[in-house]
Amino acid sequence: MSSQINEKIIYLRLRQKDKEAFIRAYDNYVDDIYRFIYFKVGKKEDAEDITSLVFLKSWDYIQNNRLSDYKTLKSFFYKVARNAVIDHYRKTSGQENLSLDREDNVIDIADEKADIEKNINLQIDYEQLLKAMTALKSEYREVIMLHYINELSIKEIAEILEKDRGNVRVLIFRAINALKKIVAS
Amino acid sequence: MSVLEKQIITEIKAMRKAVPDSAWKAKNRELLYNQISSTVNAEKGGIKYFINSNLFVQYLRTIPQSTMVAVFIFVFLAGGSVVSLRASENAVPGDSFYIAKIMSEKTQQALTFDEKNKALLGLEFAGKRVQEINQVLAQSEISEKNEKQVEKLVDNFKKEIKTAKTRIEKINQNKIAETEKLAENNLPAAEEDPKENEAAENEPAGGVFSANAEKDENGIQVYDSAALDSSKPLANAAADSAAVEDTSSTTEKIIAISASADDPQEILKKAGACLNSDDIDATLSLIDEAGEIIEKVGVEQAVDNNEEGGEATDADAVVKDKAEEGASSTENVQSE
Repeated sequence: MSSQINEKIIYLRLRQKDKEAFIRAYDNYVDDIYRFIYFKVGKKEDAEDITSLVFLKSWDYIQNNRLSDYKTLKSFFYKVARNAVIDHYRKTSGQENLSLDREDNVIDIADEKADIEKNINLQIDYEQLLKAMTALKSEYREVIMLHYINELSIKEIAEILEKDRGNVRVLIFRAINALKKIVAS
Repeated sequence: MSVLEKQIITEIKAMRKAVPDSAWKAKNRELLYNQISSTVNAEKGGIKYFINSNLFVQYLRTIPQSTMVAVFIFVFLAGGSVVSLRASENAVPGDSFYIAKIMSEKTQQALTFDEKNKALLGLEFAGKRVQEINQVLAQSEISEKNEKQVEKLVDNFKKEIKTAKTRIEKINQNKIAETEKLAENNLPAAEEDPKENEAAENEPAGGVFSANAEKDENGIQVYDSAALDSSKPLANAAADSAAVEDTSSTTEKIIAISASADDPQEILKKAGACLNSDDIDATLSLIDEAGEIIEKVGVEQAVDNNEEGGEATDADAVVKDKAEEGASSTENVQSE
């Protein structure tokens, strides 16, 4: 609850172009934005570059008083990030790539995977899931990532994707089902 | 199938562990900071500007109704509505309104974004603490409850001035850094406060001198206002606060210093004026002075003996001793 108040305070200060507040916003959101971008582009360097770009762009928007177009900080940053990724794809004209680079894999998911396998008898393994996600429709994949990986609420996702809440709920439901079907087959 | 579903979701959530490289994160932060620092911030922040701008009205529209209701309930419960706020202005510890008063003070400070104004508010609140000490002491019964209240107030006072001092020092450092930076870029120096020139004319040259000038004024002031006999030697002790020697004693009680207690408030007001005219040194020394006076309030011999000046002076020294111990243990006060 207090984090919501903090977010609102930072938001208000950003409306007044407060630099200190912006750095604080960076600290709060860089991890989430990076994660969001990483799982869309699949490469560490690309994710890093795009993340930097996102924050620079958002500062630009703030300077040009565009922040008022967005109601909350979260939706602001995620939208800018989303658009940045779309631009990136237009330039590289590649497909959304969910594969994690094996060579320069910074992410230590391997350990996490081992833990999970100890605790739960997995019928599916990690690689399988990754493949399944890639096979999924991009709309479904995105909404699953936003909800389960970025831990955004239905309301927040609705704002970012510019859909209404019911729509988002249905999307998540269908996405999980589709994923299940792919994994089960 | 739901077991599978749970497993899928668990696996997906495992992907949350992905974090950016911390070295890259730090480097990027620095880069970002440099980039945005180069954009000159034309508009000054602050709650006053914000309220007067169109943004405020727009913001009000964006607040969901439920939040508005919650805010109003909170305001109502806290007794912070405009009318009762005046009533709470005179609250002291022990009154039910006191909590509301403190809360509204803290809210006010939290909403002030300019560091300087925050420090000014801090000084104002410290002054209020002095007023409260007066009020409590003025109550005819010197009881244990009163003692505790005064102790608390003295504590709060010390905290307030400590916070204010830290803030002011921070502002000072930031200003020095800013002026250095601007000097590098060959731009004219940071906003010159027109008040500064005025203040310089009115006060004798040098921060230290002005503090002394105030002191003398206060010394005279105290002599004029007739109060308990004990207040006179105490006031003298206050004027020579810097030279008081340390002796040891162990008893603790309250003394009434009524008239002389006005001094700290006056001093704090002057400190506020100095801060406004950016005279940092004078502000700091005035704050220190006020602090020393208040510290004498906390400790003394038995109430019966408060007529005798000698004992009063002894106890004062004890207080100062104790207070200096407390003050010298440095803590990092978080300002925000």
